[in-house]
Amino acid sequence: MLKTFTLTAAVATFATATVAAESSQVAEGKSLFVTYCSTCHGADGQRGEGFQTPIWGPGSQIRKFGHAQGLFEYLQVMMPFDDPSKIDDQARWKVLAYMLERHKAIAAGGTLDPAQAAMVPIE
Amino acid sequence: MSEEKHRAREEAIVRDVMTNGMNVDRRNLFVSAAAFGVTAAAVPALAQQPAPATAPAAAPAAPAAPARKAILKDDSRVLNIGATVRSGNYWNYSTYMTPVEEFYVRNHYPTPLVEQKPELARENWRLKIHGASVERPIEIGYEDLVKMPSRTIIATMECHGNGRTLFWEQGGFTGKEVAGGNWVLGAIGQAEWRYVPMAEIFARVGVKPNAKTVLFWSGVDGNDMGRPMPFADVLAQQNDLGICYAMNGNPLGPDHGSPVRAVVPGWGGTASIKWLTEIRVTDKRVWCRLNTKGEVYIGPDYQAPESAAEDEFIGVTAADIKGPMVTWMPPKSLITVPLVIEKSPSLPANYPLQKGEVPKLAAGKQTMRGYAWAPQHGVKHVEFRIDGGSWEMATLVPPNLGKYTWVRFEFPWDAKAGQHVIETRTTDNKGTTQPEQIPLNSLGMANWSIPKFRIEVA
Repeated sequence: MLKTFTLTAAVATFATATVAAESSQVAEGKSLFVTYCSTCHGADGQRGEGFQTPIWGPGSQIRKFGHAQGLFEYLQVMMPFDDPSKIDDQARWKVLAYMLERHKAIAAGGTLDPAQAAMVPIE
Repeated sequence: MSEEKHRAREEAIVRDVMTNGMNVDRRNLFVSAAAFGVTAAAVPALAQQPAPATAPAAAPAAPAAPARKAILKDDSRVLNIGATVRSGNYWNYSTYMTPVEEFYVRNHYPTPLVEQKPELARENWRLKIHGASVERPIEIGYEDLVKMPSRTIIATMECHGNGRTLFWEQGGFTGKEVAGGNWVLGAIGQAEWRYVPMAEIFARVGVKPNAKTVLFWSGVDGNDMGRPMPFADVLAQQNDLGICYAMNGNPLGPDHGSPVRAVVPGWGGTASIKWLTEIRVTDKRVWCRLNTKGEVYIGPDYQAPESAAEDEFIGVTAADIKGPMVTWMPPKSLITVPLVIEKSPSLPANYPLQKGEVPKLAAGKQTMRGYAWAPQHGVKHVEFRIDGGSWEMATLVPPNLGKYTWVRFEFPWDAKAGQHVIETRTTDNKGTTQPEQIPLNSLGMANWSIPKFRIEVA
């Protein structure tokens, strides 16, 4: 058969973005992500041992949740995948803020207000 | 498992169900493993895993309970792979039909419940059958469906990813190369499905000659769970696949697609879309998540199909097409022995063996039992091999009811003290035999290589 696809080609390369002032919410979310999510999703959210598709940025599927509230509700029941009760909702919002900052759904240095999450579109 | 032990286990389950309403005795997980010398006091595998760098105990508040369980099934009789995934405890399998309580579940989203999705109540449920290639579109309710001519079929249902574990444990691949849930071998079960065949549906709505695709769409299970099937494939199987509303004689349970799902016997589980609300027959090819990047063969030996400008894309683009989708599940076999989990990136939380632990068996004359299936053409025979010796025929245990069913098999083994490896392979009625290795595919789909069961005889 033709060999038209190589794994290395699927590994996205990331420019080192200059995030000037990361909010503490996003910074804490990043740390939680490394602890609870990176095994499956990779430290860069692009690929890990449990899931191959990026969970933010180009090629990710999170836009299907519509807005931050929709994705949060999914994460509440589903993540961390081995045991969603490993983290509480407060921590979950931080992880989500980090993800959405990476996805550019919230501005660099910005924060995610849970009360307004339904108003934060994911495109 | 001996007959006595099996009976004792069954009685324990009945007792629990009668007194507690469900089986809550987690020790039954270990009954089969106990036959190999693993004691019931074995520490659950999860406790053996190192604590995360930031221990949850350090968190200021106690973890909040999740909003709800993603799956309703009782974990005492299934293997917990992840939030929406339960594998079957295949090392405990002994029956021809798989009890629903022990049937694997692979959902991409939390099981949708009537409380949140009223359209799933039987009285509200509607199925729309329409599309550019349908002469007379219809919309039917649950009562309409169950009054239509129906059939039953006994067929296995298997997840595409079943056996992914073999890539890690014996295929030489790491979690960097193959990603996904660690099913071991239990993402398969067999049930009697009651369904209205697609032949009945096609006769009722009329299909135009230009039909190219039949799209089975949930619309309730997330917003992207749908399976486009080539019309020719549906037509070829039109009496065997259809719209299902009962499993093992009971209405479908919530985890299995209640009230109505598709059932496509022999094809990987994702073809049998659960919580089905729409069937669209169209003159275009259709691409969505599952047949582009969700459930496809991605690897150097596989070529991604090409799309055309006139194709229909649902939530994806041509660039998302990474490989060909899995269709028929290949021939496979197993013996009811828990596989040693040593190299996999993860260990299921309630696996009966610890990481690297080899199941133990008492020395002496044993009867080894197993299951084989080959749904495209049916099982012809099963062979086994001990410690790399010559292949010998196993005895098939009736019934063997046709290509869609699995068949049980057994063989005697005079087990001598020491470490042993038992391998099994089945051959289907077209002469295809399980291979030693299969090429890399990075989603770990449909590994049908010969499984190697390590056993320590004391």
